[in-house]
Amino acid sequence: MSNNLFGINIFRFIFVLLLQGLLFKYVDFKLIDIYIHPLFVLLLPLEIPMVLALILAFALGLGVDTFLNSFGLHAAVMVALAFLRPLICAIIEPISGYEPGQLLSKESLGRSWIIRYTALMMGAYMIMATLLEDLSFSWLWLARCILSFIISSLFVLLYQFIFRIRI
Amino acid sequence: MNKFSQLIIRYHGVFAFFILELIALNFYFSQNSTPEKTAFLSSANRMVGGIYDYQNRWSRYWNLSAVNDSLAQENARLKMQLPSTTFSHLLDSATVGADDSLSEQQYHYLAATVVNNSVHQQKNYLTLNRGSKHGLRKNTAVLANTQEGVVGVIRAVSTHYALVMSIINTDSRISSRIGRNNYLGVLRWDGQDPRYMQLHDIPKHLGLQKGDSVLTSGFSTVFPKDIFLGKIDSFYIEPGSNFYNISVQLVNDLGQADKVYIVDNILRDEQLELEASIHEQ
Repeated sequence: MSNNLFGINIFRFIFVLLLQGLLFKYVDFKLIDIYIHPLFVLLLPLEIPMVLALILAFALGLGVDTFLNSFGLHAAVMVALAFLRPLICAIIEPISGYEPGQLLSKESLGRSWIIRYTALMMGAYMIMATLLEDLSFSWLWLARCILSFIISSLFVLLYQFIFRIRI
Repeated sequence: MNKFSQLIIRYHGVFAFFILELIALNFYFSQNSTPEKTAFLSSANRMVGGIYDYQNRWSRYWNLSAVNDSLAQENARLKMQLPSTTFSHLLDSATVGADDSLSEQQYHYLAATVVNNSVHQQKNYLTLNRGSKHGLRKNTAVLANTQEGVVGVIRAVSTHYALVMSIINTDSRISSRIGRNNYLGVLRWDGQDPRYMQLHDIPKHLGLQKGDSVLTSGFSTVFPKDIFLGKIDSFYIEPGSNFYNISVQLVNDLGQADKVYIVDNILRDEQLELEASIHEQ
């Protein structure tokens, strides 16, 4: 990981934490929760060591938990998401494969890849998070999960289209 | 041994995953029982509470907040002089006045400001800007600004902040009664609409009317007696059930809770001790 990339990820860690903890937690449409902090795991470099990715995801999850009073819920789901990420990346690997040091951005992998990637990652996150929160299955649960997924994904995509990294 | 260490090195990612996941899930599932959770709550509260406090300061008018604080404190002092907050030593309590030497202060009121609030989660919590430094302790009631409505129960206290489990938390239970016939029930929240709670354990032989008032029973040692909670909005009996399904419209809007009163039952420990002594015999 180059020094620049390291700085960018640390900045993103803090930015995403504050955005989620001070802004998106107040969004209140009935039962919908907007979670944008999975974004941090989404945009970690591909070559990052697994253990480091897991620890960073755990730390961010705990940070979000302190803001949302959810005691370990997001820490657990973030760790699981970081663990699943290589698998999801392998599922949607482009025909040409990933290049070493490639950034997971719209510029390097194309718009449709980014949308598929975001949808899979956010879908996994939302299913795990709502399951763990409710510990039951019902139509209400499904509606909550799907609506939260759609709205959160839109915000995460928006972030990826607004902020671009040039190295 | 060599093989074992090779295994760990080969699958170190998987091991790290399981360890972190275990820590997080242990946190999550032990949240309602263990002292560690309270410790986590208090420290988290101290950390994030400061940020919320700062944020809150910018979102209100400077002078108004100072004036409100002094008025709220004044109110708390006045409320303590009401006859209903005292424990009467006379056998006929109706004749006791507020300044009677035969009555003793039972409830202590303290004004506080909400610095963090949520209403759209399943487990909603509030943070108040009063803590152990101001004499707060766990399992103390928090009432709404007006004489009507309940906000929640304090679950954890740090030096300057208190964490309150909102009544619209799926874990909250309030011992309450219907005003017209004095029948006891338990008020709970189903996690859906923050304006409505559900009254359980009311048997179907009772006659109910829409608009019947629901009050606190005063049996729980946490909430004072006869605090108005809300009105019965709708009710029905499920086929085969012996109990009503009652929806109660809350009198206060939890989303707008700002100034609240913390009500500490000074005689609570004595009552609990006495009630617990029966199990020891």
